[in-house]
Amino acid sequence: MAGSSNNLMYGSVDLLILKTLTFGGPMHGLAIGEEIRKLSRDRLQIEGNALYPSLHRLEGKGLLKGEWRISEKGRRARFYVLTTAGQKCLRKDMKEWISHTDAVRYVLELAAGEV
Amino acid sequence: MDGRSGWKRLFRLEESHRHLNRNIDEEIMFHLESRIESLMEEGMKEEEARAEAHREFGEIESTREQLARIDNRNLRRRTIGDALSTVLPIRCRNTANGKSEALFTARWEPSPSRPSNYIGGERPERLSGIMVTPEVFQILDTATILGRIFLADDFNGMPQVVILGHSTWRRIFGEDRSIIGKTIILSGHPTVIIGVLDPGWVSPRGLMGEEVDVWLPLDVTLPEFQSTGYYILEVIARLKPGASIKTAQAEMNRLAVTLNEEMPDTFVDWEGNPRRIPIISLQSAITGDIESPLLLLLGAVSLLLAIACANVANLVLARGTEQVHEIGLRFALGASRRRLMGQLLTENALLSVSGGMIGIVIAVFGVWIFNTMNPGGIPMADGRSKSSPSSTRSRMGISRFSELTCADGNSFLEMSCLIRFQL
Repeated sequence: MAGSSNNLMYGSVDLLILKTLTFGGPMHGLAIGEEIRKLSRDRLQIEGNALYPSLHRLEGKGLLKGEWRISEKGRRARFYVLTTAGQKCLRKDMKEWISHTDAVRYVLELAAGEV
Repeated sequence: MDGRSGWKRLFRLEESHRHLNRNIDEEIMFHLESRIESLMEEGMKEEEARAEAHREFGEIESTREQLARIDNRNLRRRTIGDALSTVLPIRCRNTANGKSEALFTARWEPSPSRPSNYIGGERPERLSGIMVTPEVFQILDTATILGRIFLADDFNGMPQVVILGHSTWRRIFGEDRSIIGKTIILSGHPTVIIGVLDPGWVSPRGLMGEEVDVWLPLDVTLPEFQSTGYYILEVIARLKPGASIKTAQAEMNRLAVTLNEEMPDTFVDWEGNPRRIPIISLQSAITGDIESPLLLLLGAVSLLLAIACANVANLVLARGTEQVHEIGLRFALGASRRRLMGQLLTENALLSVSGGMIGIVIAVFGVWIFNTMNPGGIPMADGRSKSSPSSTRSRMGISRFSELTCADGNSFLEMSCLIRFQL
């Protein structure tokens, strides 16, 4: 569970969603959340109240496309797929995110050394 | 229990008629219920599973509010995008484009056509749909081959009835003549089929190569349309006899001024300038601004053609002087003027016919290359046309064809003139 790291996570939810959607076809919100949990070996669990606003925002930006489909269990669910713009955005943001976190880690490790 | 009351709230909201909220609720509910199910499969009791699912999800009510806010914003930004209708793409497309592309690299879908998921056959199918007001089919003289077009009673709230395009009827329903009165599920709503359009009737969208699969009635009294902030509808009108686009535009300009005065805050475009109501003819709506560049291109091609003809004529002339001896000899041996002319004509006819054939092959290939590499921007030229994929192509092919045959005809005439001249 994310616990206190929620705040840190907030900015990366978009990125995690985009990335998760590159692994397969259309997924509904619950499946996306589950997938992220599995991929992070249970360390990241995105709560619905962070996941869905993020999905809707990304859809508004045209990075995802949502549509109503029938789920495996025969119920109507909103499925999301990555758009081309989403793929582009993911590539760009992933680079930025990695270089940013690298930089943060570098500074933190230096600081840890001093402590 | 907190979760329970959340549930109840959700159900109460389900009864309200706000489409948007219903979708939000359905999405959240799907999440919670599926999660509860899988937790129960893992062995939890229902109560526990419910509580756990709610705890995992977090605060439902605030999520709901947040989603409604986001969706509203999206809606405003994307036109009603997913939900609504169009008949003719009018200018607002351009202004809208500029804004959205400045904001995101995301693709803007200006066509407010409504993608509908049809369910009912063996597998769900994605259809393109348009909602129209009662007058649209009247103005366009729409004919059906089965059933009827919309009546006044059909325009009552969310669409209950649907008219199928001819190709949809053929493709999905296998030309089933008993289809009228059957119900299909469109975007989750049961909808009754009341008509099938005549294949001879092409909508303005179809002319632009984006034929519509299903037509739905648009009730303009729906709350979604009562807001003055959305400009998503496209209007099609027929000019009164004697009226011109100019006079109609003058009238619309006056109307726009009035609307600007009435709603100075909302009747504005993306830049905040007072909105206009531009009128364009159906033809220019289809061909767009491409007419003058195409004319220029045509001029350039004609010029090139003239140069090529002159070149060929030159070559033939040069060959003619070489043949002077041969012709003189034949003449001395008693060949008549007619026979000699016949011989020269045959030679040249062979030349131009074979030249023409090669030309046609190159033209067909060229059209194919153009279609495959089409950078876009030329209406009716790309292979987009859903209703008649081959027609635009063949039409272009024909024009090239005639161009070439003309050219060959020209050079042929020219050549024979030269030959006569020589003789």
